[in-house]
Amino acid sequence: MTAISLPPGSSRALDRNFPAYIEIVRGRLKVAIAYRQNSLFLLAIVVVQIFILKKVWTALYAHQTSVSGVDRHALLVYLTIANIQGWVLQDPTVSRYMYERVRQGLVAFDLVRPSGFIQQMFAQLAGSTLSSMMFVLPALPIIYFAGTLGAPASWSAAGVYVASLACGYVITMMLMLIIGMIAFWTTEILGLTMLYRLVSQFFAGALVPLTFFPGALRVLAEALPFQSTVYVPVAIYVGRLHGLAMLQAIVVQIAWIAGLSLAAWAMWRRALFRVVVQGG
Amino acid sequence: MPAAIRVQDLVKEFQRPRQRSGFVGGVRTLFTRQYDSVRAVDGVTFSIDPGELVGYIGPNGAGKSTTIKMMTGILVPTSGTVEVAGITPWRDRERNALQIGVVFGQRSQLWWDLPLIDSFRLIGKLYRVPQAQYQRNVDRFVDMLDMHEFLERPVRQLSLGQRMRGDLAASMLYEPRILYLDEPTIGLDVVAKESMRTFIEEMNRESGTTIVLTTHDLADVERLCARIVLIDHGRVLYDGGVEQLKSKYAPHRVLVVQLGPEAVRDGRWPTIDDAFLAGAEVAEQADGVARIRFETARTPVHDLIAAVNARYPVADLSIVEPDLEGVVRQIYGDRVPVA
Repeated sequence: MTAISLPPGSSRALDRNFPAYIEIVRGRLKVAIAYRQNSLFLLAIVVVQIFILKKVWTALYAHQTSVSGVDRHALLVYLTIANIQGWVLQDPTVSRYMYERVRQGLVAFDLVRPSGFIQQMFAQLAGSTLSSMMFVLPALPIIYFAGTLGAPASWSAAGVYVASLACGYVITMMLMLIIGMIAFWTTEILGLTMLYRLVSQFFAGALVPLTFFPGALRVLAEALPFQSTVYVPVAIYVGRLHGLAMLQAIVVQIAWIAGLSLAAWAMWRRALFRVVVQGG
Repeated sequence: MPAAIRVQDLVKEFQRPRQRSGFVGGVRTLFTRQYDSVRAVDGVTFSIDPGELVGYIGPNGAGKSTTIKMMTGILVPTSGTVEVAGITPWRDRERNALQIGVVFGQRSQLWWDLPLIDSFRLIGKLYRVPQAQYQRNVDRFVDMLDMHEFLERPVRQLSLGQRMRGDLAASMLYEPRILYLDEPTIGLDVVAKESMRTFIEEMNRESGTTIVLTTHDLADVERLCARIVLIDHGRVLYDGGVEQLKSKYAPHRVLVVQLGPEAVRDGRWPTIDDAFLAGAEVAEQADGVARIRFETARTPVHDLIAAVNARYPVADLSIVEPDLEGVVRQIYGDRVPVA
């Protein structure tokens, strides 16, 4: 066996081709506009979900203003923002795109391009996030009525929220990349992506804040990376997480970024090895 | 002059899990996996000079695509070496990527949901083609391949012929020195094929692009290639000129003789006797038409025609040259089946 130099990205000068990434992002936006019915439909589902969650939680709070130390208004703001954020950041189309490329053998083209596959996928993810944002902004008035929008707990909470959201975004991207790469082994990931969406949404605290999770479930949720994508930033926004606990949560986010990047990198090496040695 | 592509003792083995039949067999496969090793490419050696246009042909499963995948750097060989303009493709993928163009007839590198021109723009950026050069190439290719009409249309709405023209143009936008074409004309109609061939010919002639063409349509090869490398069972069977191949495997021409109506005696056509046609034989004859096989090296055409003319009234004569397809059919037909 000949020695293999992996992964691509070995020639550093070629690595950062921003004009090409911008072109990919633009392409994604155009695709999103072309398929706007899909995006609008998904957005409608999210709005309905926010509305239902609001009704359910309002009923649960009927005779008290605070449950387990969480007041009603903060909770409704939390649920609204968590769900919008989850929708904007977690567009499944890119994992599906990756899976399609692997399944149809189109990765062959990605491997003979001067820009790495992973970089191209990140540009795709960034493009899809931007397009989701584009749909959410005009929908904000509707979301305001369906759910509850409120200001962040404080100016500093708003600032830290943005930083924590950025970390959460990177974690989401890494998780999507890992899910997408599973296609190199199984060639079928649709069921898996559905399961992933369900599990990640639940453990991210998009339906029920982690605060209300019973003992064992809470421990499990905190051991998983999903809480770092939604619960942590939004809890910071509403002021539920602050002070030392907030800093700790951000350190955990950064650790997840490091760990998942390593995992994704190792996985990519193996995935490429599979293509390269065993054939697409 | 250093070779553009040098392939030396190239071998690629694949491990395939052995399938057992039936349910019990399927369950057993899950636990004890046995692998069969298949040699798709088995010691291939050839070298291609800059500016050559070489046909790389062979029957299905001969190992053509596997070789192309190693030359492009997608696959790593089990042993042997490949050098493309001095670069080992799978070691230095990205530098290699900049100097090669690839078209796989069965797959498309274009962005499915977007207008064709958007894929061109993306490729221009990926390969950092300067704006002026990019524009010049797009204009030129759009003219050559007649793509005005569908340039702004999403790729998913294009016909196969239009899409393939788009793919071919995309692979040349950044002016690679080497172009690999894997079945570029598969499934195309005559007109689309012709426009693809003209484009390939011009890229080779005007820009000096080195081209390796894999195809099952031997008309592509006859039209475009001076040289072919023919492989089967992962080995090179023939490497050389198309004309030499024909004279080696098909030294025969056929003289078709149509006798004049005055030859009919008692309502019957005469039988042409080949006893006096030195070196030639009558392959078949019926209703006054005879097909006479002869070797140009042994029997000069004019002697043969003179001999026929001297004995029979002839209404018409024509000579049929062997075509590459007949030659290749003969070579494939002769091959030893592998158990």
